[in-house]
Amino acid sequence: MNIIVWTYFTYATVSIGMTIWVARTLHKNGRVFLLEAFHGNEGLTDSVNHLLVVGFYLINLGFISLFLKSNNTLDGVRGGIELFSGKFGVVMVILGFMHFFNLYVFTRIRRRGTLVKAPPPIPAQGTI
Amino acid sequence: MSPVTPTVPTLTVLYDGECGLCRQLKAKLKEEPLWIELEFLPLQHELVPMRFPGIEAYQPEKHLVVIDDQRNVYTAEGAWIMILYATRAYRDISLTLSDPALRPLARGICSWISSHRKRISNARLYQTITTKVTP
Repeated sequence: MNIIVWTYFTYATVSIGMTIWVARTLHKNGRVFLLEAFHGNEGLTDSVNHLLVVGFYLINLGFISLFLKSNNTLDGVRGGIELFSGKFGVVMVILGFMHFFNLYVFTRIRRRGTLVKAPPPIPAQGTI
Repeated sequence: MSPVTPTVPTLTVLYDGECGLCRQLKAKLKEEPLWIELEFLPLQHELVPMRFPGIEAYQPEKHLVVIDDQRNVYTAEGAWIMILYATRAYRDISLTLSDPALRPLARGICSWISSHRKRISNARLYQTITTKVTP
């Protein structure tokens, strides 16, 4: 196999591995947020958690796949490493954004769930 | 869903019945899904002094006043925060506005609207927006 194929192979393997790691982290730690938001309803929590992770996988794997192609002619091993580094860097940044976006979604869902029980936000100015 | 918060089951809103803007907002709020029931009472109503003796001290003619079941009184931006808190759609905004950092801003806006409510109600632009076109 020539260098470009090795670069593609390494890029795909590392990026997919990274996506799986981030998705598993999200799945494991996001559950606590959702459980509180859905007032301890485990069935609903697991369902929403699973759906969110599936969406996360689809978007990231789709992006990794579309971003694979390169028209550059590689200048030996150095060119291969640079291409891999550039592409993997972009994938990591996108994963980071997606991860924070998911955290935002979890927080929003949790916040909406806690609104129902929220006590009056301010003390009264007086009593008659 | 029935009201969830047991501490404040209903809120009575004392509004200016002679102000178009207030009546318009009341109509809007009546369409909102609520977590806490809102009862609207124009402050010109004869029942007001009987039901809420001593309410004049809170100057209901000057700004919006809200009274809960325990006869706790909320005025000006506090009244607005409590009204938003009663709604399902805007409770999160109410919690945000109650933050000590944002409350002065809310106070300023509410105070400006309260003192200009008659002028806003009479403004041509406002009337154009709120007048329903009848066929």
